[in-house]
Parts: sequence; structure tokens; C-alpha cells
Amino acid sequence: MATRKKSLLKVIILGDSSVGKTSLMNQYINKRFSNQYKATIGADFCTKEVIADDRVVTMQIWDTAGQERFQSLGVAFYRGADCCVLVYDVTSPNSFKNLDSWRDEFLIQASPRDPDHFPFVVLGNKVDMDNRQVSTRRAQQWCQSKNDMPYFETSAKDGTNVELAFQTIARNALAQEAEVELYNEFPDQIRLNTDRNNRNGNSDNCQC
Amino acid sequence: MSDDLPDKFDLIVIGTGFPESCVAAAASRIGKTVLHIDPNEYYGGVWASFNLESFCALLEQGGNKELRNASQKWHVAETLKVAEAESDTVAGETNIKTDAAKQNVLDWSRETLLQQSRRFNLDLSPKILYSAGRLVQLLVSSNICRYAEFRAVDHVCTRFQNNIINVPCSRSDVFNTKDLNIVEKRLLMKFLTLCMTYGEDKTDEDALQFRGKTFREYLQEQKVTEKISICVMQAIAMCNDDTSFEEGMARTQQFLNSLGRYGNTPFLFPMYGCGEIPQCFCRLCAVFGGIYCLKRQIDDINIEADTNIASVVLEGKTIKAQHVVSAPGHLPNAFLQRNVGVYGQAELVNSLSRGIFLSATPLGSEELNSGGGGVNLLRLLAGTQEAILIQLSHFSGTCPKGVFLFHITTTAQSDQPAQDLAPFVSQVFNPDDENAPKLLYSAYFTIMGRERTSATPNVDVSTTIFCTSTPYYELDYDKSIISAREIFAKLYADAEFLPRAPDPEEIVIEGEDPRALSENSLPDDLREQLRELENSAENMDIEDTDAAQAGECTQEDAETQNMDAD
Amino acid sequence: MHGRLKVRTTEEERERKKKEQTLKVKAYRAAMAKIQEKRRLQQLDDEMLVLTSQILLRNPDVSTLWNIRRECVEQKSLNIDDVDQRQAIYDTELNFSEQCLLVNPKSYNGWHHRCWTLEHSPTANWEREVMLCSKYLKMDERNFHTWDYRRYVVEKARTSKQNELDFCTEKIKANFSNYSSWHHRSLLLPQLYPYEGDAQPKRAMNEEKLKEELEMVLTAAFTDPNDSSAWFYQRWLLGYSRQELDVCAFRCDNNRAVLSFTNPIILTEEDVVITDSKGNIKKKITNWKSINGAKSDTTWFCSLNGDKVLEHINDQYLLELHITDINVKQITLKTYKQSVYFFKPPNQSFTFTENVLNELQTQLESCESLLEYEPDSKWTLLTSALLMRAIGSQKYHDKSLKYLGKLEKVDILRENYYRDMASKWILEKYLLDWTSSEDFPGKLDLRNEEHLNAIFYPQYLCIADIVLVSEKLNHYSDKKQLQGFIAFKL
Repeated sequence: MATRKKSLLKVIILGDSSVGKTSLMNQYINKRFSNQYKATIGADFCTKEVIADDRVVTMQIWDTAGQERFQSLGVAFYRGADCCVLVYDVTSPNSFKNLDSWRDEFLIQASPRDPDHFPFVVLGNKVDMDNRQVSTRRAQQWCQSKNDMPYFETSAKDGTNVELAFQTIARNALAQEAEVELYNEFPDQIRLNTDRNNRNGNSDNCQC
Repeated sequence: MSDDLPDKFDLIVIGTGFPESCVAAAASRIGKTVLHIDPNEYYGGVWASFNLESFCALLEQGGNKELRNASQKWHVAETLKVAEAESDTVAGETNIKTDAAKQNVLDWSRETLLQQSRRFNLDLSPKILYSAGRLVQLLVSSNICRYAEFRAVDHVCTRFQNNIINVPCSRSDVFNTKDLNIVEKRLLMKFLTLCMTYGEDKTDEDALQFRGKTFREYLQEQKVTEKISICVMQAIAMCNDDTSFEEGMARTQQFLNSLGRYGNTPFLFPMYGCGEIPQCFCRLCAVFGGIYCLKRQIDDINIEADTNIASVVLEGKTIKAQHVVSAPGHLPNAFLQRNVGVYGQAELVNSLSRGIFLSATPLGSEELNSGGGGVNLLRLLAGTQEAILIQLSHFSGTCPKGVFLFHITTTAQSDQPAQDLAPFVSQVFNPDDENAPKLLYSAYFTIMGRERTSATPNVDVSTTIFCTSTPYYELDYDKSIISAREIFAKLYADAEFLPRAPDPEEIVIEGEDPRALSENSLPDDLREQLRELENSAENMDIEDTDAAQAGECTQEDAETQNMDAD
Repeated sequence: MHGRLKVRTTEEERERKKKEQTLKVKAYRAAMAKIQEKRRLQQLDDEMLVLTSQILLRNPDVSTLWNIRRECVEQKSLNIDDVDQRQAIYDTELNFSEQCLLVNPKSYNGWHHRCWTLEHSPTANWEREVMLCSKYLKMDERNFHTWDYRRYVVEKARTSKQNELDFCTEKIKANFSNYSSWHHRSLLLPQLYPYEGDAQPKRAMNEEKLKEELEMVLTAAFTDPNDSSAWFYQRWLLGYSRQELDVCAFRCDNNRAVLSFTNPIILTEEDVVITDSKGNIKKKITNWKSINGAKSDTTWFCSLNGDKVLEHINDQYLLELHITDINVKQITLKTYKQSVYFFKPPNQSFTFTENVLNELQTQLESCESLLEYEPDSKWTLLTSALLMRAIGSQKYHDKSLKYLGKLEKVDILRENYYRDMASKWILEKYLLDWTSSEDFPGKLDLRNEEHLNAIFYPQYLCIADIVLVSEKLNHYSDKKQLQGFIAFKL
């Protein structure tokens, strides 16, 4: 049996309700957009195989599943994130203002080992709309003030910058993974229902 | 905020503990509209995990309805003394010495521990999962397992002649243990193999011979030594002298069936603590449209006499629901005073006596804690009472490196958890024993549970309100799952309980032809490659001779087949 | 319904998969076509590397593409003088093959490419490779590719053998059903703890260590008797390995000479001389013929055509050998009738030191006590028999054969295996007893050995004038060795 263990990157998307988190995910994965607001039913996470820096990486993008709507995201959601995508709606100044608290919330809940260098990527979504309220300059300034987070202006509707943004997300998340991690001596964490864990000394399938 | 909420749901669930979350997820999964509320600002209720600071605060305020009789004690100084703090920074050889002696009580103070508060996940109701047990099966069959990660329990231990020894349960354990000689090893392996196959043949002589006898009597009949007998009784079958042969055998089989699946023992512990488990169920509920509101108080619940529909008053707003499922402690007083029939409701009484202990050193020998300390399980006995001790190291994501976390749980005998636990605590943290871990912090509390009464008054088939169960004294979640299923079956008689949730790739997006395959589902590079190269490849096809092409195809197809195995 | 998700049916999924497959084949063909075209044009550039990566990352077993990659890398590094820049090219290859090996850790091509890369790169970090092996062995401790590769890189990294042994011990502790790690051990131990005594055949290792190993392997065997890897290791420890090359038998009169060895060898003209006790050469025997006409054989003979080799039969004669692989250079010959001869019966028991002997005795006792509980346990029976042979083949001859007899019954599938083993032991004993019998060396009569089913050591029989075998061994009669010394004629 082949022991497959590709790098898996967990990316979580945060931001106020209806800034387009699920739509961005859908646009990136399925190249689709639906105008209907569905409060993210069925949206869980998406996986996509990407090649970054000569490596095949499975990127797992996690949606909030609507639990952010009444400030009820549990700490479990934040566990083990390799990258955090902060999304706001360029037509909603409030959603931009809240980025600060989303970022803080992430740092508290996920408590990454190196908070100063944790990879965040900021997306200003809905640039296809006419009634823009947050200027690019203002957004860029804020991103610079927070350890120079990469910033992209996207449209989940027409796909502007979506591909590029997620490429950056993958690359930054991967860069975080140091070589030390690859050779650690810790016993591996177990995911249920994956074959690779399930191969303890079966003497009948000898592979020597 | 509550104004955004719809005013009608199929089900309102109050409390986000394990059984409530189970029911909420199951209802949402079959398409019911669910509103899931918790008066607390955190998930899990009495099943939650806390960071050190919030845990101390919770005990400080004296607990809540479900957690009482709280007390806590710091065994270390408020802050590190300056001299000691500085000793770490002395350069050169002395520094190496300090590192070696790092696992020392003096290295920690209340302040330094609280600085790492977020590295702690202290469970109110810690559990250990059988790798093939009911919860693991449920997580796998429902596909909720994708939301959690686990750590294999490193060792199952038992006390033998005042020492804590490793119970050799896996083949490699038996091979490595120095506690058994080779004949004993063979006997133990043979006994375990026998138990594995036991019952396959219904006419098994033993089955007839030992019917009605105890498991202990059965063990005595087997040619095993005292040591093996103790290991089997205490740690494998986890039974006592009165346990029947059938039950002891069933438990041994449960243990053995869970072996060899993940780690070296049959047990798993959830990474970051058991508080994660209810949240996994809640996520599933949310993914299927369940709405989550933490930190909301329920003012009252009214039942419409003719329709039996419940009106839940949530911070002034009335929301209607077909059914309400609530954790026992969360039903509003106004409602309770009206004495309406609630399925499963009972007085809250002392149920579990709990102790949480922090130490800078692990319990037991170096062998039991190789590689920086293990996640170990130890069942303790004192007279006719028993307790479960779980040792957790930082590998479990529940405490910082250099600290060991111990959970001890026993059935409550009184409203004084410290007193209930004293006979067990003295076995492992005896201050006179220099090998025993020295405590940094200790806390005691009582988990309240429903009084076991035979029937709840005023309950009939039309009952709208259901009360869930509190944590049981059990290793795994078996009884809690059974009781959650029972409520679900009362709500939705013929519906399937948590059928497998599809993986994201399996879901058909609205308006999509389910058979269609867009280029988008191909990996990026393949897609680009395809687009880029299609033209040039077409040109080349013309150049190539047909024969060469045909010959290559089969091999290529085979290779692509492999490629497809991705 | 609200909250209900639409999931593809299996039929729809199959159709979708089929389409995906078609697309993938298309993409694959396009890439392969492009690669072939580029190779024809010798465009070994970065684009070529990218193209091969895309395929290899999904299927690392297309050898051609690895070859092309190597051509690319050589081409690329050709014009670069800067060491760091060149190293960077090779580092990319290392990372790349590591990725591919994650996809298929048993890809011969992937492992080979690593070796090639490291051998050609300006600087190779062998320690990192050792760590890589540890990582892969953590994922699958039985992947023999990784163990092979590990031996290669450990040699290069000059990792201490003791560290390797410790690593190996850890792996066995985690799962002893692992031929690879036992094998790894068997290679390390003789180097780390060489045997310095003079017992023949030589012990595999220092006896103190041997004792520990025996203990460990018996523990494994008792923990899981059905796991064969431990038993094989045990047999290696107990010396059931190939015998060392040695002379078995020699006989010579004035007409003919016959010489046989434990293992087949190629005997050349220069090798054998008969001298008298003063060292004067009496005869240089040159025209050896192998008995079966093979180039390499255990038994060799030659015609002496009535040369007066042995003038005075009562003189002392010596056989001088000039064979590199045999330590013994001079053998004193004995006289029988008008001939001289030498005979050394097959080695059957070993002279262990007291220390090891005690350990073996303890192990035998453990086995015996276990047999009280499990009288039919085949592995215990076999081990007991083998231990008895190791402790004292003479002393335990009958008992060990009795155990084999029992094994024939309880393990019927391997009935013939045990019979053959018994035949071997019987012949060993017979040959030993023969040397002190009055028939020796003229007559060898095997007719009364009813359990002798095969003849393992035909090369020992060649010095007897007549060899008598039972009916059932008749099919051996075409073995020339059984025809007896007298029959050796050209």
C-alpha cells in the first residue's frame, strides 16, 4: 500500500456576513457565481490541488458555514490554520472596519506560534459593483500597517484577481511550513477514515 | 441582532453540549430548520474545554448550574523569584545544568502558567475514545470526522504492587515489556487471541461452562499468572470482581477490536481536548443550514395548548418551534414553575466528582513517558470505588510543553469532590513519594447530573420539550450517544440518524449538469497544459504515423490510469 | 427541500469520472507529444523540466521522463561555473524527487533519481538524506526501497554503525514483523561486534551480543509465533547459514584421486599437491575433472594412470592446498589399504561458550515449558529441535528427531520439509559415527536408515569404496558420488 502524505494546507476565510466569502470560494474552485444569497448552506470546505514552488499541495479552504453571523464561530474552526484570508466588501465600510477585530479574533483563537509572521491575505471583494465605499489606498494603508499583508481587490462575480489571490495564499501558507516541521519526531496527528493511518503490522501483507 | 432571526424553526436546541449538538446536527442533516442557542459565550456547556484563565475564572465564580462545589489551589508562587528567574539566563555550562533540571516545580509560577493560558484546553468532561467505539464509528459514518484530529493514547497503565506499569496491549507492547517473561508473553498473547475469536463458535465449551459465573472466575481457570490477570481485569476488561463472564468478555473484545487501528493502544484522545467534539457536530449542523447564536438568554417557553407548538422567548423576541431540546440546566425558571411535562427532565444532583491537576513531571516511569511524556490512561481502584485518570502531555494540544495535565473522574459520593477523590489522589500524588509528580495547581468540582428516576411526570406522546442527558461515568461516549439517538427517534421517528454527509466534491452545484465535467475540476497545471498544448499536439498527431500512435496508446492509457489513482 | 443537498448518483459520478479520465488522457498525450518533439529537437530547457514534472508528480514511474530530466539537468549545469548556482539546480531535483516519492514511496525511478542527483551535485547533504529515510520509514517501516537507500546514504554520511543499530532496534520495537529491519541488523551486527573466537563455522558476531540477540528474537517469536520474520532471523543467529568453504574429503591411490568440498568451487591446475612429511613434492595433481562436468562443483576427481604417487604406503603424506578461500593449507593424510585419505564429517553442532550455551539452555527450557501448555505448537517444536541441535546434536539426536516426527503430523503442509530436515540430521550423525566404525572408509551402508529420504551431502560419500543405499534412495544412484571411489575412472 502506498503511503500517501502530501502537504495539506488549511486556509480559513474570515469576514463579516455577506461580504462574499463563499462566493469567492465558489469562483475559485468552480468558476461559478450565483447572485442568490443562500446564507452558505452546504458550504463546508473545498479542496484543490495546486502546484506552488514545484510542490503539489492540497489546499483546503474552509468556509465559516454561517456561524459568524451571530458571532458564534467556535474555537474549533480556527485550529491548525496555515493561512487566514480576511475578506471585506468594498461597498461596505463597516465590513472593512471589522477586519481589525477579525484579525485579532484569529490571533487569539488560533494562537499561532509566531503571530507576527503568520500569513494573512486581505481581499476587498465586490469591485464589480458601482457603489464602492472603501478606497484602495485606505485598504492598502491598513494592510501595510499590519506587517504588510498582501492585498487584492477581487470580484467573485466576474473572477477578477481571484486566481491570483489564491495562488498567493497557497504560496504564503507553504512558505510558513519550515523544514523543521517536515522532520519532526512527534507522533502524527490522526485523522479518522483515512487509509494511511490504518496500517498497523499486518503480517499478512508482507512488503519486505 | 435577534431581529435577523427567522421567527419559525422546526427545532430549537438550547445548550451546545455533546448530546444537544448531536441532536441538532442530526435534525439539520435531514433537512429540518434548526436554531441552536447557548446562554454561554462558549460552545460545549458542561462538555467544554477552557483555557487556564477562563477555567480559573469559572471556578472563582463558583461554577454554574451544572458545575458546582468548585475549589482550586495554586501550589506554586505567585511569580518566579528573581534569583530563580535569572538562573536561566546564566551563560555557559551552568545553563546546560539548568536545562536538564528544567522539569522542576520552581520553574513555574502562577504568573508563568497564566502567561501560557491559551495553550491549555482543560476539559470539564474528559473522555477517551475506543478506536472502533461508538463515537468513532459515528464520526466516520456521518463524515463528521473531517472536522477533528486525534492523538493516539500512548499507554494504558495499571497499578501493580504500588508501581504503575504499562499494560502490554499491542503485539509490540508485549514484545517490548520487561514486566513479563517469555512464557508469560506467550500466555498473554494466546489468551488475547482466544478472546478475539471467542463467540465465533456459539457452542464454545467456555461459553456454556462459564455462563452465570464471573469474569474473574474465568480468568482463574485460564492458565495465566497473577500479573496477567490483574492487567486483564483492571485495564483491558476494566471490570471488577463481580463483573459477569459475558460482560468481561464483551469488554475485552471491545478493547481488542479497537487495537491495531491507529496507535499502539486501542484509544484515541481528541486533539485540543474533548471540547472540540460538540463543536464538530455543531459545524455539521451549520453546514446544513442550522443557525447558531451563543450568549443568548431564554426568557421563557410557552406551549400552545391546541397545536403543541413551542414559543421560545429569546431576549424579548418570540420564536416558534415544533420541538425544543434543551440541556437540563438551561430551561428557564418561569417555564419550569409551570410544571409542564418535559421528556427526560429530572432534578440535578451530584453526578461526577472531578479533579484537574497540573504538574511539571509526568506520572510513572521514563518508559511510560518516552519522548517527552505520553498521553496515558490509568484506571484506579480504591475499595469498591474506581476512578479514571487521564494524563495529557503537550502532544495532545491541551497544555504547554513542560506541563502535564491530569484528569481524575469518579462517581460522586458527596458534594465534596476533593474528599471523594482523596483515595485516588493519594495513590498518584502522594507528597511523601519522591517519584510522584509535584503539583503546580489543583482544582476540584462536581459535574451535576440528572437524578435517576424511573419516569418523568406529565410526559405523554405529544410532549414538545426534551431534556438531554448529562455526562455519564464512562470512558467513551456510548451512553450519551444512545440517549441523543433516543431523543432524535422521538422527534423524527423514521428518519436516519446522521447519514453520511457528502464530501464537497460530491455535491452538485445548483443549475449544474451532474454528469458534466468542467475543465475546472482538473488541477490547474493540467488545465493550462491542456489549453496550451492542444493545438500543437493536433499538429503532431498528423505527423505521427498511425501505427506508432496505436502502439503507444495502450501504454499511455495504462500510465494515465495510474495517474488517475490520485 | 431546504437544507437538502443534491449529491451525484453513482451513475452520474461514473460518467463524470469517465469524462475526467478522457480529459486527463488528452492532457497527458499532449504533454508527452510535446516532450518527445522537444527531445527530438534537443530542447532540454526549463520548459522541458516543467512538462516532465507535471506527469511525474502524478505518476513517478515513467522511466523515460526521468532520463530526460537528467539530460536537462546536465545540459543546464553545463554552462554554470558558480557552485551555488549549480547546486541550486540539483536541489530542485532533490525536492522534486521527494515530492514524487510521497506519491509513490516504492518508485524505483524516484529513489534512483535521488542517488543520481546526489552523486552529481557539487555538494551532497547526506545527513539530510538519512533524516529523509527516517521520515519515510516512519510512514512505512517496511518499505525495502527506503531501507536499501538508507544503507547507501548511511555509508556516505558515515553515520556511526551504533546509531544505525539503535535506529533499527527502535523500528523492531515498533513492529518486529519486518524482514527489512532484521536484515539491516544482520548486516550491522557482524561489523559492530565481530566474532573473534576460532569456532568453525564462525559465529556471526561476538558471543555476548549473540546471546542478547537470541534473547530478543525468542521474545519476538513467543509474542507472535506466526510471524516468520523473527524465526528466520533466529535461524541465521543459530548458524543455519551457508557453511564456509572447506575440504570435506580426499582419497587417493595410484590410479585415481577424489577431492570434495563443502561448497562448489572451481578447481584449477595449480591448486593441489601431495607431499611427504618432509615437504617433498610427490605429486602435483593437475587434470581435475568435476564429477558432474560442471565448471564449478563440490566434487572433483582425476586419473593418475598408475603413477607411483604413493611409493611407501606407510609413509606419512600431506595434502597441500593453494586455494585462497580455504584457510587450511596442509592436511595430514591417513592410510587405508593402498590409498591415503582425509575425511571431515559435516559440521553439525557448534562449540558455543558457556555463556551462550546457558542462554540456549534457558531458551530450550522456556520452549519445553511452553510445550506443556501447547504441545502442538509447531514453532515451539521446531525451535526446540533447533536449539537442541545447537546445544548438542549428539546428545539430543533422538529427541530432536522425535520433534521433527511430531511436526510432520501437526504441520502436514510442510511434512516433506521436516522429512528432509530429518534426513539431513540422520546423515550427519551417520557420517560422524561412520568415522569410528570398522567399515570406515571402505564401506558406507545406508540401507538401514529408514528415515533417510534424501542425501544432502553426496560429496562426503565419494571416498567409500562402495555405497549401499536403500530402494527408495535409488533415484540417487545416478549421482556419481554414490558409485563409490572404485568407480572413478575416466
